[in-house]
Amino acid sequence: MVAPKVAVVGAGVIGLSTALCIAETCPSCSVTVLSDQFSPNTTSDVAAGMLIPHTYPDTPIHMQKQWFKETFTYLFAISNSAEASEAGIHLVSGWQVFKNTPKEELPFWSNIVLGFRPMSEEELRKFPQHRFGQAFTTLKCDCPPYLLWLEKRLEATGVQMRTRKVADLWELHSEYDVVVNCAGIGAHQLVGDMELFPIRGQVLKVHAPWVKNFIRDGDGLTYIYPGVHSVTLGGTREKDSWNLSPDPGTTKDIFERCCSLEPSLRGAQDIKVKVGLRPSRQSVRLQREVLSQGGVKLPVVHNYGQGAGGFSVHMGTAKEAARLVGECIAALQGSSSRAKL
Amino acid sequence: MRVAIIGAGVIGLSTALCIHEQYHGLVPSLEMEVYADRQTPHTTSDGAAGLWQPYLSDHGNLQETIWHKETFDHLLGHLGSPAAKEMGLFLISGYNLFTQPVPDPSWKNIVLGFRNLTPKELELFPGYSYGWFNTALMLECRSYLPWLTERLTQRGVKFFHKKVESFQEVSGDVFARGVDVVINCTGVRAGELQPDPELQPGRGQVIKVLAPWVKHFIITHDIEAGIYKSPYVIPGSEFTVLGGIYQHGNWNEENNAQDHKTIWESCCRLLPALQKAKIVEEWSGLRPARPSVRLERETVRHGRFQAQVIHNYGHGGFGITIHWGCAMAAARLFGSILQEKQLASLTQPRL
Repeated sequence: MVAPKVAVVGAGVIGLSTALCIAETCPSCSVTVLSDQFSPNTTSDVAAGMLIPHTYPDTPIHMQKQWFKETFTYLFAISNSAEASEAGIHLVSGWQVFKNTPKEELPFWSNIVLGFRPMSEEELRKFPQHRFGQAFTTLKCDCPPYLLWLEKRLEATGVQMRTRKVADLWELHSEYDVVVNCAGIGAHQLVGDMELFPIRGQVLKVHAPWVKNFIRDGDGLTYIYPGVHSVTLGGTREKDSWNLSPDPGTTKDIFERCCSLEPSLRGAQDIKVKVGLRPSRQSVRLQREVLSQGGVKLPVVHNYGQGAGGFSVHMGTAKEAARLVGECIAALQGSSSRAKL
Repeated sequence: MRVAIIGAGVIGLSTALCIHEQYHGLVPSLEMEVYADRQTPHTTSDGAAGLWQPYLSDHGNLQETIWHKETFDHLLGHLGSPAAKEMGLFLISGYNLFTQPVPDPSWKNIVLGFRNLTPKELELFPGYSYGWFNTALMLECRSYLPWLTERLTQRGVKFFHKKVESFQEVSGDVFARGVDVVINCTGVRAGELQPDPELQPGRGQVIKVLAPWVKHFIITHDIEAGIYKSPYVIPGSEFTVLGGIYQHGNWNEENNAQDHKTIWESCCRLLPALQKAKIVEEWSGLRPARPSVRLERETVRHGRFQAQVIHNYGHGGFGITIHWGCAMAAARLFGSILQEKQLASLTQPRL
């Protein structure tokens, strides 16, 4: 196979980073990103892009830790370079506060983020309703800048990007040798994965440039994440809701909850409301599959279901997906050379 | 009772407010006036980034450390109030970087969450092998001074945009109406009112840029060179301030091209992402440097008349950091003047 043709379906953070990893590990591959939506209309664009991992119940912890570490290391290097502002990647420090002391005081990622430690008494005084807290420094990927920066790097590597709604992966079998499914919540319909479900998140993006620290309630429902140009206030976790329309009652509720954590937010301006459906699953689906119809085979690599933790693990899962694509190509090349005998 | 404050920087305005808040109830006849030739946004305070951070060592001057703490605690108490945004007050975390281990600063227990930097954090700052992380406060004078002015105006304090040439002028001008106390908050130019060889300008220059992705302050230190002679980056609510100039004895308030180069190159080396930042403004100011803050009473006489002067100047590069503690100390001195006057009025034979 001279130039294996790889299609990546999906142009959110998973699709774009996966395409980039494939292009980098397989220079001879011709990679095309196909998606019905590109930034600023992907689920990733709604997310704050904070590197604070979500725990997948059915993915081994050591794997989640490795994915997070790879992602953190990769972004850390960019945050420290001249490209940081264009890529929208920056360090941010803050606090995760708990009303009740969590069972696990040391999360698996505590030694990957920077300066992780329990909050002092003085720091906790700022949060009278909370009894326990953790202070640390992590990274944030602002979207759209990060996605646009990935798109720019993809173009520089010769990766094509096409707006196209793929209704069925099989429709790509004649044009592409390997298909990578990074369709996120779209995988529910695209491949009929009933284990994939949305967890609806509504957020507010506000202008409050004096907020320099993040604050997150350990219950994951209330958070304040300062980005480059706006602060993301959240949020909700509504399982199985497919509703993409902002709810005004929810907006009010999110605003109140965030103001009780950070009263100065009352002075926030320019409030925009967004909704995203986290593509949630008990484990990230990161595996090969071979589709076949009438003797024709189409190797597929699935890379979706990162749910609330997409940004936190994206580079790790992208690298693994690229490795699986490499295996697919090797298998194709093996079988094609066998066919020649 | 007539009180004149000379100087409308952070020291003058906060001292005025502190005294008025504490004594207006006790002295119904209290009339307060603020005289200044420069008002916000043209004072020295306005040019400062506004980061609360004392110098590394108090050189055994415990009094100043107490005033720093009083200021921090006072501001921390205001953080959750609706006024915080208007005051230009907010929390900020960040880094102090060194090329060798140093003793912990006198203020380590005043700020929040003070700790040493981990090796991984130090990877961010090649060339620096030791450092601290803590959460402190920002108090932007471009907001704080107007806020103080508003509070004072609401209280009936009068403002006069004029240069005071002498203590006599202020107390003499209005002697018929009796200026009893003069509060001298004239900062770097206090020497024009009364010679003070210990007071020298500590010239600084800063570049203001748009770099909203910077969320931490970063202060580097060159122990041999001295304070503020090493690059620093301080993100404000609108602009990020780049600095690292301290020139003792230099009265020049014009921006200097070599200093610009020094600041820009050293800050971009520290934070490569700054190369893409847009420069918005450049400013030079004179820190009112003194071996220690002059905060004391003095009786100034001329002819038959005398005025009580409370000096409150010489706060160097830590004016914002120490201002409220000093304002309260000045208010205490004011209280002692009041007590003496009361005593005097009791012992004066009634005419």
